[in-house]
Amino acid sequence: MTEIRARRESEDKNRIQDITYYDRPVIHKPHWGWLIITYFFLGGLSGACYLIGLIADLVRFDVTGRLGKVCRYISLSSLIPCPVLLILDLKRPERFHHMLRVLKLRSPMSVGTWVLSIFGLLSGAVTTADLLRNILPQGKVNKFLHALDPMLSLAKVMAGLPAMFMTFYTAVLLAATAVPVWTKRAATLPLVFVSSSFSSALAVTSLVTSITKMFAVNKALVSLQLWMIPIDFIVKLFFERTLAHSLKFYLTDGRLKIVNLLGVRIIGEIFPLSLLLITRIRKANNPWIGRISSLMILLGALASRYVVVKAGEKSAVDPKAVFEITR
Amino acid sequence: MSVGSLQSPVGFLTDTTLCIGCKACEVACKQWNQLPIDGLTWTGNSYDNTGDLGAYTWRHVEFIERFQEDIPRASDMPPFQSHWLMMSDVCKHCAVAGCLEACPTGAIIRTEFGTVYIQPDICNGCGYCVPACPFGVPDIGAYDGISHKCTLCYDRLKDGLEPACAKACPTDSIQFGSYIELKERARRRVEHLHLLGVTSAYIYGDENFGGTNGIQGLYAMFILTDEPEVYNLPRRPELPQRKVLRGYLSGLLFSILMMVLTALSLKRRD
Repeated sequence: MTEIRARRESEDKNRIQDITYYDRPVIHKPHWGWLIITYFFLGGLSGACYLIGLIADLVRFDVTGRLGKVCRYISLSSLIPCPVLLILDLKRPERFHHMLRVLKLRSPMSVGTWVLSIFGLLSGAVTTADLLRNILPQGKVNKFLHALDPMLSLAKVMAGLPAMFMTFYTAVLLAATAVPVWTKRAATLPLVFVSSSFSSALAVTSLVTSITKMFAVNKALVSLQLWMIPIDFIVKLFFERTLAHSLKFYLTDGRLKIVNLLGVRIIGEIFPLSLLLITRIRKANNPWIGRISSLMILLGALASRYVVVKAGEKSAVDPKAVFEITR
Repeated sequence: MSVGSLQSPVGFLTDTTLCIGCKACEVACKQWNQLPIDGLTWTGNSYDNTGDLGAYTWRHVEFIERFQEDIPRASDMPPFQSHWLMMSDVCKHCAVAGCLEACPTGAIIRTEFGTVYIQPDICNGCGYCVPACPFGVPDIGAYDGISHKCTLCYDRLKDGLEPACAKACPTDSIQFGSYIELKERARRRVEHLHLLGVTSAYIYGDENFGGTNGIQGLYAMFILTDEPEVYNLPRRPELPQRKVLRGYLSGLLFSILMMVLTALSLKRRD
């Protein structure tokens, strides 16, 4: 009897697992495309880059503070396109300022709007002051900047908090939806974005310091990269492994499988890591190896955002995935 | 916001056991709200050629054909009709709504009637409410680039009229009223259906089905007679914003960890 009942129950369960309404989607997927994927990449990079610069200054990495400045220049340069990308993605771009009507702590997009604005203002002020100090001759302007120094130092540290949010809030934004791949591991997805942000920020700073021939600084950054790339690798592996088997499918199916394996894993992590390690062990001196590695890491970071966004969209339009996480 | 904090939210009770699939609700909705056409296609799978709720389709009648012989019938009608399950889908006007919580412009508001309403002059088409709805209701309109969904005929409510779809429904499958009252009516109707032998009847939209995991109930409820999935409804959906705090915390902690690592590495070098 119990056997029959057990079989009937499992049949029932199987029946429910197979039910869909003519395979039509249960939820709607967002319209976000390349603009948003690029923003996720640039915004994370900008935040992490600022943090690396801030820490370099705080631990007094070099007396001249060159690394800090370089980091802030890169951070601001990658930040400037961000609002443009976001506004262009709106279906009614002329109403972008409606985002600034309210602050809703439970809406990551609202929080993100304010984080981006405040980060832009603070880091913009600090970085512009850096820049003016560098390009202007000693004189009145410099004296004026000197008078502002205490405020600028405060702003520099204060911008650290929004910079931290920049490295991961976009992951929370994705997690706070009904999309299976994004929401299922809501606490793990931010880890993926943080490590990827730091990894890409290190890649671009190491690229710039290599090109500008700051070799001592570059060496220190590469040492950090040798830690950061494996961390990035493990975090992404952890995310994929902890995602339920049926959801992992979306990351490892069809075109995304190629992008994930080739773009994120091999080009973005394994290949540059091996290159950097070999160079370090052999004490080779060719700067191009580091530069190429950096470019590959950047590509990989962009690809990883692409994979997360597209895998989410695929899971959103699959009713079985939605039913599975809401059963 | 919980149900109790509102004076008297209004909503729908859509009783699928009474639906005859006439689609008068879809037509009345389109007409009253002056919604443009959004596709004239044949799905090829049933009488449902509407397909989905969307920016310009706020009622959607679903048709599910069943071939078993021994299905308990909710009516005395001949099998031809009772072998179809039909449901007029609509925005659920959640007690705690994912779209409303997600909206970064404050365009989506809770009205004085307790319903969820998108202010068309505020929405800037960011599209965040679209994946934030666990039921797939709002969508960005192709003509005007802003998000739309059922307003529960906000304009008609202001004039003391019932929503157009409920008004047009010839069998009272769609009923309009105060949420508390409809909930009680639904309970009684399900009890009655059980007496008639339709023991599979239940309410979708309470805290067992549909209004689950932080959503705290749906002001637009349904009476169903099969699994929620059959009607393309998630069994136990979750309020997406329940993931926000843990996301922030894990992100903050990990980025601090990465900063410590950076600090250790950069300090050691010099």
